[in-house]
Amino acid sequence: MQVRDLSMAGAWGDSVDVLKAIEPSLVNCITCGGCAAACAASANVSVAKAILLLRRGLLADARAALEGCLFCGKCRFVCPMGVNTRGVIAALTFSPDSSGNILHQ
Amino acid sequence: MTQPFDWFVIPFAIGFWSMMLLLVVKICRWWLGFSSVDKKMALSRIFSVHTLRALVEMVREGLLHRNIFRVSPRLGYMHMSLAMGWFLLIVVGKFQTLAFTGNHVNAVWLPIFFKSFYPGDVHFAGSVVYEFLMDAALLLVLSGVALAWYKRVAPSALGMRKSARHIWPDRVALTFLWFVFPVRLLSEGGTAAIHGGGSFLTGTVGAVLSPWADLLAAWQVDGALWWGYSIVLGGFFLMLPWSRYMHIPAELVLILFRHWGVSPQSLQPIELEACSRCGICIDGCAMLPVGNDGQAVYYVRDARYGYVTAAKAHDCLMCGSCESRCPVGLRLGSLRLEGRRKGASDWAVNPVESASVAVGANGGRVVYFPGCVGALTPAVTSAMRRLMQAAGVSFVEMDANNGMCCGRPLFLSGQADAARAQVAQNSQLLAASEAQVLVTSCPVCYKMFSQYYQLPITVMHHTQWLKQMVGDGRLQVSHSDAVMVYHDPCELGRGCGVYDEPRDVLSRMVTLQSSSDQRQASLCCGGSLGGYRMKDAGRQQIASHAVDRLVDARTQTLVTACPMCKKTLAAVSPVKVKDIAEVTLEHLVLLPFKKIPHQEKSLLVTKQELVGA
Amino acid sequence: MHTKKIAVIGAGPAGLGAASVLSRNGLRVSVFHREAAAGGHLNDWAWLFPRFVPARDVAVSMAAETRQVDFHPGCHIAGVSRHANGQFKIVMPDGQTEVADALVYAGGFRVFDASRKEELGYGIYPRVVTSADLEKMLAGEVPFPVELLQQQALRIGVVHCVGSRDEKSGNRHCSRMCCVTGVKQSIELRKRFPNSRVTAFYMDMRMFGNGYEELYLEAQRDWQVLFVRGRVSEVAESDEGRLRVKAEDTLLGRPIRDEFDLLVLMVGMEADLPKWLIEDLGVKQIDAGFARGNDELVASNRTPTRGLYLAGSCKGPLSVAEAWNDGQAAAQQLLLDLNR
Repeated sequence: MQVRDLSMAGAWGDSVDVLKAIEPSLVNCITCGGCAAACAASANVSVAKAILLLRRGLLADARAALEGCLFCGKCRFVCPMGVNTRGVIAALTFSPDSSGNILHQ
Repeated sequence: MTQPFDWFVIPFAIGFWSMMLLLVVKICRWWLGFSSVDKKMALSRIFSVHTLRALVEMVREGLLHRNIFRVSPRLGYMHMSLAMGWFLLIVVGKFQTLAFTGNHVNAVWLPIFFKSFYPGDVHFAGSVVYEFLMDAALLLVLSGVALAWYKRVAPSALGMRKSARHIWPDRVALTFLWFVFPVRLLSEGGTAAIHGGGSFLTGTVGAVLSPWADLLAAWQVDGALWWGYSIVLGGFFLMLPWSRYMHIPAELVLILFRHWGVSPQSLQPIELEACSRCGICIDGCAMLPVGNDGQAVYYVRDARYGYVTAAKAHDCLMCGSCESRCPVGLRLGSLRLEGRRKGASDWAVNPVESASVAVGANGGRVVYFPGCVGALTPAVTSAMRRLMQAAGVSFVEMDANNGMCCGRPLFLSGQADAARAQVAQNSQLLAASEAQVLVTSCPVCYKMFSQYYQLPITVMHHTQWLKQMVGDGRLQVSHSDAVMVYHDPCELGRGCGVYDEPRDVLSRMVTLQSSSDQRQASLCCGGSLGGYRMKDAGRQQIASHAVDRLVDARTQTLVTACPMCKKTLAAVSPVKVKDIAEVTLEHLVLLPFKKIPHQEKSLLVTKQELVGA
Repeated sequence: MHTKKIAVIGAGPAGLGAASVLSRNGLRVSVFHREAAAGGHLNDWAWLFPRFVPARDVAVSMAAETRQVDFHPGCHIAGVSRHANGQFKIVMPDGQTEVADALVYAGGFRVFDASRKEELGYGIYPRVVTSADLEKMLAGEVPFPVELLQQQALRIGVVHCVGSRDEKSGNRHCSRMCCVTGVKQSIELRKRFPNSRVTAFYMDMRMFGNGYEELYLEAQRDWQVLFVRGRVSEVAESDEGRLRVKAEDTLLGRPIRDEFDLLVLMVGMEADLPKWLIEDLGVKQIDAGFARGNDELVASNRTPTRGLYLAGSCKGPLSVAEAWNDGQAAAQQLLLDLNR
């Protein structure tokens, strides 16, 4: 396991600020793990963990914590703090460059 | 006979020919974008009854606009008068020119500027009739234009709560269009004032202007008006392919190719251009209460011009209301999904370890799947278990470990490949179960299993199953004096057309209220899986709006048939929210002598075992 | 001697605290209480943390602290209004009114209705109970689910934060008392069922009071209670009627699938203010819905309405001792203002 210091370059900054702007509710997370417990996809998927990693500025790890997600939204219904978990997932996985246009044609 | 010419036809000719050129280019590009299967299919149907059917639909929707009449007769009349009037002007003008010149082929401007070239009373076979018909058609169009002006000021007068906002090419084209026919009336009227002639409309305008005939002639006002007419008409044609008026040719082409059996996927580029931006979809949008402006009309417009962002693609609940309202029958949900698909990064689903289907020792005939969110509504699932036992149905539960997903959420997020992988996994599990009937409590699962899986088994939503059981008398229910109202879940109603079964079951047990927002017009609860960016506050606003429209002072219970609707509506409802299964259990009449078989002992087949086998 | 008449609404620990101070200072005190007996939620509890004192004894000694008061049991106040002369008119359920020169509101809180969290199965599965239900079972007022007593190796789950720290239920606040209640009840269950194993699912253990941390340690050391940090997301029932629980062990990052014979939900405390308090007497509320005094620091019992005082857990979750002290503090505040 990688040992790292807590200088936390990028924590709550840069790309995380962008994600916060896209899905402001992610700051409500109290990492209770209800989302991970309810998850229909896999034992490894955890929105709470992804948010925790985001807070420490580890964007790539956060994305990895969502691999295999089925987008079923069960976590959203379980979350006690009203985090729009699917919004967090969408912001992290669908379109890292959310300002970019998707040309339809 | 040499073709008459005047310099004022030039603006019109430029507009007209540039439009025709672009239309040909567009149609060729659409054709080239078709898959080879689609091309073959279309070619094989050219000389068939399908073409005739397409022509009938073109007249019905392209000219008469029957579907818009259904939304609002006044709005329908507006669209019909513009389309039909203009169409008649073209057709009658064509025959008028033919009758006059005797030539089948004439300069393209001749029918349009006929009265400019041949003013006054020109007599030929049927000339009076033609003049009358041309005036009648012009009057029809002008009545439509007047309504269109009025609609901009007061959309509600034409049965719409909101009118679509337009971008600049639309505004330019619209301005030209608004002036085309009034200017034509003035041109023909001015010419009639100087030279005489004209039927009941243009002739009357001429008669009104006739006291100033000398002045008009001296200042060549009629010539100036014909120049003006040519410019606005040419300007409109020039803008047509770049504006929403492209829908006129595109809709006709779309109707033709639909009847020729071209696949929906191939038709998408045409659909984008076939949207007239009439804005009928806006009023039904579930996102309106939260002030969202990503309605289908704007999404399709942005998609056509290539300005779709991920945010726009995901800012939609996919409730299907717009699609059910669209008079052109555009597959608006699919168009939105296409945007999501384009914006989706690579995504893979893991083999689902925990998913399992129990296989009945004697062959589990009925498999019950509450759906993944169904695991969060145990009141519904436990009611269903008891009802199945009471009906004497031996069943096994799919995915007792709550680790299965039907794949529709992946599909709705634009992850089509991952969704297909999920479908394949689940199909394998279901095939191994030897089930004959799959009953699910979740409308999302029901839509997916019934429409996107090729399963050799019957798939039922629990509303359908309850209808069957109550209808067969296997479940007997009593009637109470409770007053309830039913909320149609989007995916069950608009998504699968299941409207009658729940109402049939409920009306046997309670007094069922009706509402103006039911069936096709049902309002989304806001908890839909289709939306990704909805905040909790917005969701509650949407849910409250839906509840307000459904529940009145008499309502005791709000009934629905979807775990997501139940959870979302329950958070804001002033009355109790229940699933139809709970209501049925409450009204169940127990049959004391009926033998109720125990649930079959089952063995579990997991994904690993299947892969290992 | 004062001849002023003071009304106290609520006879839980806070109301009794206020009544004791006021009555001992010679004021004429009327106490209105919606239940038949004074004591409030103390009457629903068997033993109190952290030293397992019988709740009944505490209620009795609190009531014994008060002197002559005019007690109105079973009196659910219909409304209170304030006259221009500063007097309060109290309307009782039978329509009769009483006038007071000052008012102490000590109406307390409401226990969260666990059936609102449908995914936890309360009201659906008979073996899912709340901490309040369990207290009655421990007191012998309500029987345990019969089969439990016959089981040899009982598995009992304790679920914390039910209806607390839960924005979805409109309760973002921490109810404070449930953490230590869970610890207390775990120990009591272990004493009652020596063969049982208790697993508690928590979000954060907040052991703020004297003796709480020690109790938390005792539960782990002497009673082998297993504390797992993670929220229970859903509960299902197995064919045998056992409860299948899904949770996440957030410290290990591992999912948990387990079965229990009994699940105890630690229900939180919710605001339960009457309409008249807010609309007619102008009491302000905090986000969670509880009443707000003039500030949180030095004037938490005072309100902007002269003569109206707030006491106890109508202002937010408090322990028995805190509520009792707060009631006495409100009364002292009132006395100071009267003599000013």
